[in-house]
Amino acid sequence: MTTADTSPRLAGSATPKTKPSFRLPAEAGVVVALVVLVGLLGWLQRSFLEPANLFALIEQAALPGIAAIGMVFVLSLREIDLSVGAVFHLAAVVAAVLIAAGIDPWLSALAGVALGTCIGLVNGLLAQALRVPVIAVTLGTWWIAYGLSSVVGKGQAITPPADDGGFFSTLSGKAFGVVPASVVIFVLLALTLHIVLHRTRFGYRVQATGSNPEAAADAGIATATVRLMALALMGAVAGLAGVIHLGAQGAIAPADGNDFALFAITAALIGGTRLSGGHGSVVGAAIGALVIQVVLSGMALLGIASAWTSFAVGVLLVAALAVDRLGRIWRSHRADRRQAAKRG
Amino acid sequence: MSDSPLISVRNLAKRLGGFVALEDMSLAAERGTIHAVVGESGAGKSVLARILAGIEGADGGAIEIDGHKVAIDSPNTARKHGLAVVQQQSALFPDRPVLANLFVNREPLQSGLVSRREMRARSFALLRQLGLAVDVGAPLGELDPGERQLVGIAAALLEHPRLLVLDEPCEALDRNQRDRLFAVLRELKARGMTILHLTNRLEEALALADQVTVMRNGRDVLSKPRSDLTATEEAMIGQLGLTLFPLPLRSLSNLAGTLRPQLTVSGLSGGRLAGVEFSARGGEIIGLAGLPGSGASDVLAMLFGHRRARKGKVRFPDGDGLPRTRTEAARRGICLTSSHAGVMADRSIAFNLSSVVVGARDWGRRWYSPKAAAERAARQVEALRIRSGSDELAGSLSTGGRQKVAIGRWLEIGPQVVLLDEPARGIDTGSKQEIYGLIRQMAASGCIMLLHSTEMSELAGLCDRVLAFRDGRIAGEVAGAEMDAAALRKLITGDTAAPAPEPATTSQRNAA
Amino acid sequence: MENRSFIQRLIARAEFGPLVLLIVELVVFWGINPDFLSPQNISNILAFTVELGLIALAMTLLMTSGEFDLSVGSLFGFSPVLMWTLYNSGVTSLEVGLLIALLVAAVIGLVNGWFVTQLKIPSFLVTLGMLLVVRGTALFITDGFPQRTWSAEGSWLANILVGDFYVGPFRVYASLFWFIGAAIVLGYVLTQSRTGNWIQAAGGNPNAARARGVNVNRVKVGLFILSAVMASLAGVISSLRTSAANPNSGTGYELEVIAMVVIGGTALTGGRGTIIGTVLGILILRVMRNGIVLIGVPGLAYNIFIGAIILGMMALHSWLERRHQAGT
Repeated sequence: MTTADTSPRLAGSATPKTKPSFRLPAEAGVVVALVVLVGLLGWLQRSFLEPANLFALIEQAALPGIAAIGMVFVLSLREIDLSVGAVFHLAAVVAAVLIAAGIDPWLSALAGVALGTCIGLVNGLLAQALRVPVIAVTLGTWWIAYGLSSVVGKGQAITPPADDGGFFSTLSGKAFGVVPASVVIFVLLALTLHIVLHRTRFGYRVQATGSNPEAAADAGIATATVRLMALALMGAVAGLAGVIHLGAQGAIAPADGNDFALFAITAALIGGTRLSGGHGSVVGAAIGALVIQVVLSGMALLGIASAWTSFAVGVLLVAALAVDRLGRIWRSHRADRRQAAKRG
Repeated sequence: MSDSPLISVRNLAKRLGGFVALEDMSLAAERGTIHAVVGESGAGKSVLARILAGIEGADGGAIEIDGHKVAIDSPNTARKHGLAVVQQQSALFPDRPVLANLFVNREPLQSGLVSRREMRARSFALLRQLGLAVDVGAPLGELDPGERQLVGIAAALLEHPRLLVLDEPCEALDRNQRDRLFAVLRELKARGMTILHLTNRLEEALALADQVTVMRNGRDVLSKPRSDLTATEEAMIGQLGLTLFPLPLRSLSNLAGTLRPQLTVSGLSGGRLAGVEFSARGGEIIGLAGLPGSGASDVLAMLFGHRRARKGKVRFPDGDGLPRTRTEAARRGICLTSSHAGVMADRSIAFNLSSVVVGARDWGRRWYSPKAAAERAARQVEALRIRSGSDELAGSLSTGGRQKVAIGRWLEIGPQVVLLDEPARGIDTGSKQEIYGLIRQMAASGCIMLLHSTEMSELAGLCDRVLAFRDGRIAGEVAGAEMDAAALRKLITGDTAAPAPEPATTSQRNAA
Repeated sequence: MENRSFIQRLIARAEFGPLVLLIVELVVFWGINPDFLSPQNISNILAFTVELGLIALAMTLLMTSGEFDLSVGSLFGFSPVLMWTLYNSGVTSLEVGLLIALLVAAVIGLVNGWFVTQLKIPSFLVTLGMLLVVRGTALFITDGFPQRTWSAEGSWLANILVGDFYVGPFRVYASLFWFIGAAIVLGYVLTQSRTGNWIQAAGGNPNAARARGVNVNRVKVGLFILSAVMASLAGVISSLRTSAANPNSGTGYELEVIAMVVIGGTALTGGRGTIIGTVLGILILRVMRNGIVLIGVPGLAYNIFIGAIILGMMALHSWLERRHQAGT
């Protein structure tokens, strides 16, 4: 009746060393989806594969893609930021108004990004102080930011005068004559933040907090600070996207950025970020943004009515969620079977 | 058919993830009896209760009611068969009024609407009998843990079940509440109700039961009528738990007092606590005993910076006072492991083991290197005897394995003050033994150890000194030779009268 | 605790904050512009209140059970489009068209509920996807143009739903009574019926609710269907009143409806809900929208106020809760 005879049968304990199995990176699925989609569309329409067309496509995906990259950090924390689109718009409007008032465009752009960061910080501080989920706070700040930008912009498109400092020409220019500036920023940002999420202390804390907030807090991780920083980052990239939009397009219209939050969340989920928190992939989100854009462009190319655009994004979103969920069910099913097999 | 037992459970088996919770559990309860199931926490009692409640399905075995095999696949089926189960962590709704909690999904209706008057009328007598003098319109969350527990029991009794299953009903109750509850249960038995009483306290089982079944590691090891139990058998059952505790390693405790780090707490108040005073030295394991709600675990939460103290002075070995946040505590080498927070289940063991080194501390490199994490993990997996590779998910471990990971994440920083909040609650015996060994080791290496537990035998077996908490104050201190579970229990439940003439008390003494 | 005075109990109620806010709002607007309380303006406020209000009532129940529905705005636009399309193409009569529209809405609610309860995907995202799907379908049916509607005057259906008449100087639509009726029924359901207890239990502690035999999934699916049908009904009422069926109408309503519910004191995280509070929340926002135009603030600023009120109310509730906890 001692414990010695029982312990080998127990849990976890009985697990012998399994052979190191090769695990596919989380992004594999979305890469395959992208390649298949591009291949399919290229086969249907030769012109789709022309570099000019492809770069145009990436350029369209770049701005929502930047927002998606930031959203990965927020989703990894098991939170959702609704205010992204409004922050994007407000940053662009404020920068545009400042430029129109004669302030140096680069400084104005910086002000736009700073404003985005501040809204992110406010979101984080309020969520902390009121002890409510970020989604609730951003429901409030979405209204405020949206209202502010329509008041500041008087509900009309703003086209600030062109300058000579090179702001507009830089952002609407193309590196090597083919790569649009926004694409360069998008790619650099994706790579940088990928490293930040997976290889830095901050990224570690984001993932740990998202995986189990209570356990993280009990391990001494300053979860409140982590959340604050992640939301500030989200605000900053949303503001950055807004400013780039202004620079590249030369104007900001009232409806721009309306569906940004949705696009960003969908892209992140397609890219393998899990809603249950803890697992995020920045590169996956960037590729996810491309997938959405490919689907949308492909539909236009095949002559499908633009009314179906939102339909397609909605279906993509639900499909991505369902795939994620079914994948999890399959994984746990397989784990159970493996356990059972081991037991004999 | 009427002479078949009301309920009999045969060879019940249940696997949870990779962990065997029930292996081969059988028991039979006769009509109109109280049947106690005694077992350490982690023996599988709660799983048995959940299966009987229809919350979880069994993997194997059979349940017979009145001699007929039944499949209990949902809470409603259980109810149809006349079963009512009171779970350990009472499944209640803290935001809702007491009355609503009593009648969830059983509301009496009057012309289609819920009748408060009838709910009041139907619960009034029962609540009084149980000694629950509370405002039934107030939210449940405003009640003491003991009162909440009684509300859970009352809710089950209101259904007039044929079989009442109670999982650790007395855990949060003080002496008075317990006595009243026992009186009510005896009366219900006299009226023909069958009661299955799951507990880890032998003396409680013996005080009430007609039949005793002992459970270990998901099996029944002994089942006898109460009256047939011999003194030696009682002693044996009482001793089952004690074999778990490793011998103390007292290499350091003989060192000169001045050299050893010291933690002093004086006048600590806040929340339920009032004027708590004690000091602890390195190498010493101090136990904090108390019912839930007595404030014992609040002391740990305050020392870890998780709860704010209203007043009081605390001096840690590093010369500073209370940490303001958990992060500050972690950085100062004060660590806490509790049974409820758990681990990051969807992350690897290596990731989990880095959570203090990388997550909490702010010095060193700004980067997180999976390779360094794997090296760290390899060290700890070895030391903690976790029998899985460090790249496996922490969620694939048993509860005991997870708890080891939760403790292991602190070891890398060499903590000075170790706070343990029920570190061995609900885990299997093997892991329990290893965790106890680990606690001893940490004490031997000079850490200041504070251990809170609701299991008195655990405190009696492990600690050098135990402080008993009652109603937010230290009600007494037990050390050395006087240490025994029954004495502690008496201190925390406020039973100051002469030793009760319960056979349990004496047998426990003998055992210790 | 038992000797808490009546006043203290009143203040501790979730509905107290919104009530004070509504009174302050009314007094301020009336003080600045006395026309604000003119019969005509009150009639105006009430007319549109009803349509968003119907959705908000259903949403209150859904949010109490711990879920959201973002697809209501698109259903508000889609259902009348469907109804009129069926009618215009001569397939059905208007009544049958309405019935089919409501039925389709119920199916959409069922699908939402199925995804949420069976696949365990957060409702926020499921219904966000559904929003886009439904809106896309509405745009496809109509090619993006408003649907031809026939002036509904005189039809018994229109009379029942939106027939208007004067009570003294006030112009009242029949829909107001539907709203009042729905508020009373749902208020009773939430607080006095067994279903209401299921809803609150499901939102407060779903596992405990399951352990007590509450079919949490069925409750939630039922509420998703309810919110979809109410949104669809509200859309039809609106289209009959204005004699228009625009596939884009209802854009952004989902957030406004959720704002109304949150302002009224229902918790975004579930478990606590109040119909009285929601009614107050509906009035607060409608009065605000109407009032700030009347006192000459640019209408665009309306959104800022909504955001501020949402945050303010959340702050109030969190403060009350903390004070409550400190007091025990």
